[in-house]
Amino acid sequence: MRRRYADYLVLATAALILALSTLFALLQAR
Amino acid sequence: MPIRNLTAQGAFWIAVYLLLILSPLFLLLIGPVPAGRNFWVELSVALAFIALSIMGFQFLITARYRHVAAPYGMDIMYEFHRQISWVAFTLIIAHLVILFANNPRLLRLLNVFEAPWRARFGLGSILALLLLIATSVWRKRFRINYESWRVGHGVLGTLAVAFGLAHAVLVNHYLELPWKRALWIALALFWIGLLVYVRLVKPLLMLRRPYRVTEVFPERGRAHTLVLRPQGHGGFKFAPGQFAWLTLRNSPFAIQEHPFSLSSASTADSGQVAFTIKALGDFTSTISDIRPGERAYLDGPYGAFSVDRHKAAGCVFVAGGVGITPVMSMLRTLADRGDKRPLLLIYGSKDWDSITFREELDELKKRLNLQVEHVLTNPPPGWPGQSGRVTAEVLGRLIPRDRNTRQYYVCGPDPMMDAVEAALTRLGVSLANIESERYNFI
Repeated sequence: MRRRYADYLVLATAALILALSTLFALLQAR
Repeated sequence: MPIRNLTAQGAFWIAVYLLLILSPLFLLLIGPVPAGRNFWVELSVALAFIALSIMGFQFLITARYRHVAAPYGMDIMYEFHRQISWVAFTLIIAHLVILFANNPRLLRLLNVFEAPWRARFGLGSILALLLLIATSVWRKRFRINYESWRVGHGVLGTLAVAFGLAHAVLVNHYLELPWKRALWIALALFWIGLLVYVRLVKPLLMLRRPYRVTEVFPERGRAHTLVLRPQGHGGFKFAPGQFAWLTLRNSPFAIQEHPFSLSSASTADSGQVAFTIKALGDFTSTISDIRPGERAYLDGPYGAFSVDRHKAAGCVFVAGGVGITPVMSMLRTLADRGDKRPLLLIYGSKDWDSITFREELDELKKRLNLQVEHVLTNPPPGWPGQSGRVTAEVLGRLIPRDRNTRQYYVCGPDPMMDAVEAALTRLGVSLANIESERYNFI
């Protein structure tokens, strides 16, 4: 069960990274 | 530790982790910020900074901080460490692909002979990362022994992070301001400091808390039990089912340590602990040569595989071979506590003579509301019990009809655990009611 949670956490982290990187790029892009 | 408290702690440390890996990027936006470039360049740079941050905080995940690991179990920390490294690697590849697609002229930077140092460091970091992943995924195929791998893993990890940071500093865009550069360099020093803590400080602390082997005796199934007593300190308190890293005949600095479940009851107050170890590999085959009086070091306890973590009306233990050891610790502890809940042990062994703890399990049946079902791959003639492997069919016959009134604890060889977990789920056991322990730390 705990392994499944770890998988979900990795996916959620990856999604958060993509979202925040996009936000960073939108804030910074000319 | 109360169960609800552990959930809150688990959520807390996840939030801290996300903040740690993401905030260094956004700190770059404070104060004067260099002129922006196009969206794709900025995106690729953001991905790379986060990847570097993830790589750095990998040192934290494997630093074996007991309080941080407690809500999840150390096995899950390592599982996360492995999986999030793929995320970091993907981000680095995306960084390259986006930059090259956006401006194909940058491809000339791949020529290390003519490329500037900023590009060389970037490539060096990727090379170190590739080696890091390859040696971890194919350690056994490359025949790298555990100890060399572990030294190499630390060196390659440090190189990947140091070269990555050198790349970012030399690109001199977001890290142009001295305080931003100082911040990232401080972060990198902190990461490397974590490695120093694990490899030098922690062994030093272990050296001050030695153990002495007091007994070594054989068990059925090519296993030996090792009893250890703390020397000059009180030992540690553990939850039944937990494990510790054991160092024998070596200094803790030699990183010749191996994780084993404690097989003794957690109720002993002398700090005395026992491990039951089956001769399966290079190290485990030497256990029978250990003599009373020898010195040992322990790093523990770790792990979330314990009856103390769940409030269930009863338990079903599914053990394969030496996977019985954490289960034994739980049963012995429950017996000492006078636990009256219904317990079922489904225990797979090769044959009747190789059932580790066979006699003691019979004794425990008198002290506990315990039913033991042996499943033998080579049953003797006329064997009335279960035979073959622990399949869905066997489990379906034995586990209570009202499946989710029990908490399930599964421990054994990896293929058996995969099969049992899948079978239990098929039989209607909710995933939340299945707990398992694996020792796959590499």
